[in-house]
Amino acid sequence: MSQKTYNKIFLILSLFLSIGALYLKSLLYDSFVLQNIYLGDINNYTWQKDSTFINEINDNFPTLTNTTIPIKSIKGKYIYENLDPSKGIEYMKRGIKDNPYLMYSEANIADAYIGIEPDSFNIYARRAFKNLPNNPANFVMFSNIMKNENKIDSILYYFDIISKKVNDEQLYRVALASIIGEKDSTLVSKAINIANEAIDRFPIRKELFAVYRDKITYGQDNYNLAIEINEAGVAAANSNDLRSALALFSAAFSNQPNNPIYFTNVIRSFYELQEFQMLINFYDKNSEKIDEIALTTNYHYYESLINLLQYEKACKLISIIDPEMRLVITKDLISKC
Amino acid sequence: MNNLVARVYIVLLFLAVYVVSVDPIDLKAGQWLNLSIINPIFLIYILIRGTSENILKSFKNNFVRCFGLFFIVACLSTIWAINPTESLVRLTDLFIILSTLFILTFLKINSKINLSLILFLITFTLFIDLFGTLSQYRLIAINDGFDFSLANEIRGFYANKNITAVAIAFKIPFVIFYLRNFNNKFINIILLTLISSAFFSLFLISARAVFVSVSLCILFIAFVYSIKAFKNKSVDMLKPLYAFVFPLIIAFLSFQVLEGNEADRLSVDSRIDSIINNQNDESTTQRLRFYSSALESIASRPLLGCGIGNWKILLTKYEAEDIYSYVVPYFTHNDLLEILSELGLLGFIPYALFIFLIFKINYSLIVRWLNSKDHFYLIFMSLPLIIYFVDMNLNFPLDRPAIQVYLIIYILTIQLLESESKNVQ
Repeated sequence: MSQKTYNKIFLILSLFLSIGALYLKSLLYDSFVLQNIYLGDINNYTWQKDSTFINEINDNFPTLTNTTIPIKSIKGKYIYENLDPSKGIEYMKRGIKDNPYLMYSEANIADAYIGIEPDSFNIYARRAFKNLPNNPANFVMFSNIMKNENKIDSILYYFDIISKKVNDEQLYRVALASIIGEKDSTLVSKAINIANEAIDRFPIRKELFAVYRDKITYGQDNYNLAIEINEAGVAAANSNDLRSALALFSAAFSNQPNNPIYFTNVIRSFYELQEFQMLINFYDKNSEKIDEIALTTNYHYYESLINLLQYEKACKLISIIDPEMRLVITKDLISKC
Repeated sequence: MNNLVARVYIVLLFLAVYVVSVDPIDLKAGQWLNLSIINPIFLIYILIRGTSENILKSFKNNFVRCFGLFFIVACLSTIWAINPTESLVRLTDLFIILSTLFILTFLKINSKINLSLILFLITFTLFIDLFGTLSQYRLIAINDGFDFSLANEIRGFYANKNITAVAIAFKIPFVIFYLRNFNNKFINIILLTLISSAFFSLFLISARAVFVSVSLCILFIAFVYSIKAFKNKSVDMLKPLYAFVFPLIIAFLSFQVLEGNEADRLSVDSRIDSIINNQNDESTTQRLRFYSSALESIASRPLLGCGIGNWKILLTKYEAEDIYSYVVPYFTHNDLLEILSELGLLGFIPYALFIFLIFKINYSLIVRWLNSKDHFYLIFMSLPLIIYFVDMNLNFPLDRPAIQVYLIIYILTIQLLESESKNVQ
């Protein structure tokens, strides 16, 4: 063949490659546009899509998103959630081959097997945690295995390592949830510290972590029992049976003696029954255990002190209860301070 | 006809970079797509109109050969790649670069490409880039006030502020060189204003890689001018320096005076400080970690690498302890190390030769500048190489279509200057 023919062959080949590149680039462009939807769903954990959308996902080119998540695994997750769970899992398994290191597929497969196939769950959850140990989602599933094997120490060991690197409230929730019901005082004390640390780190979730802390401190049974007794107390109070209500609120409080609601309910009951000395005694004995005391509760205490002529204590409360001294009782009290 | 086709192609190349999109990912994909649309049309033109001799000459061009060999090794690497489809994704990028290089080489051989056209287009697109960046800056400054944390919001037409900064820095030397064409004071003032605005934008964007490049450019200029001062004591040779130094000083002073607020001034200081004292800088630590992971991978597969486009997959394995979600590093932030880890020595050598060729031409241009009593502006055409070289060692320009277009245009320009030099001799 002549040089001219070689040149033509090369050029025709280049032209074909060029047209091929154009086709692939257009596929890539379309995929990138759709990837914004996938990534939004992954971040928000919302997987509701219709079958048309799911079936039109092209997982052959490209095979990975721009964050290297296998598209087959994403498609598998959509299928699992919306169409056919077993077919979805199969798809997710195919995604592993496309990126064997990210553990996204493994974590989703483990999630799919949770409570259904314990052995498969164990295999995939362990693999995901082993290869990507600082991912909170992988830690959640690994903790599940450890909890089933009653290896709470292991959960706390890994929690210590990961929580130093990742600022994720999920880690705290998992670690704390795994300790609820434990009787070992060392574990309980460690868990209380973890809960307090979580309250400091995630102030927006402080009520949630306070619940964890209380469940761990007083035990799940006592915690639940206190809720039931308090509800019975509220019912009694609504029926004007204040004596029974007081007994029930006191019982609820003794089951969880740091709960501000139970504390408030007891004080309120004493106040309604005009048992001011009992109210003062209860307040003095227990108020230090309560993080935030309601203003009305403090007011009941304040009024009780004045009613029982305990002015010295009452005077100290003016700055908290009535700093602008608008109340009549404050105006009367001030001359006695 | 041939000259017109060459002009149209060059204009289209510049236009391909400007994609209207709000999403940076779509933007890059759009730029590659634009280039992949343009190239087949011109390959058909070459097929129909190209003479056998010119096509052969184009294939024999050293840049085309080196990049072609690099592309062939990249193609072969799909055989041992972890994910061959992702290799194909990357190969499409490389093929677009190769075909652009080939088409431009052919057009250079087959027609008379006017250097002034390239310089005009670079100057014009610099104006567009600055218009984008400065108008975004103005909007932010009027509404909320500007500080460094908003630097990415003034990225203009590019996907992020680093690309914008490199694009602007890369074009400045071309505009300085363009000054040689004019004796008209009015045009000179316009071009100098443009250069000053470009430096001003670089201060606003405060991209560290570009600060490093500009500093190296200043050192380079100081060095070569010192040598030249020994060889040739003409005052005229200092003339072009004003086009570099004055705009830089004016931009710096304007930045200080116009902003006047502490936060902005601190921003530049702190960015420069973070280059010098970088022990606690997260971005620097990350880069060092990526380099170390790349070296580890290279040590395990020095000859063949892990396959083109597969480093982003393999890097997760090395970075597993430092990945806290499903967001992975994706790039080594060093093109040479990434090529070495993906293609091993087999692919690295042709790519290194490709870069070496740019150095080689620059060397001959520098020698020519040192030995001549005119061509004052020529030395500035070495600065884009410094900017690109720093960028390829700290970022990933091979993945950025806009920067690749500018690099290919630069290669064409220095080849034209080299031929111009040979013709003069």
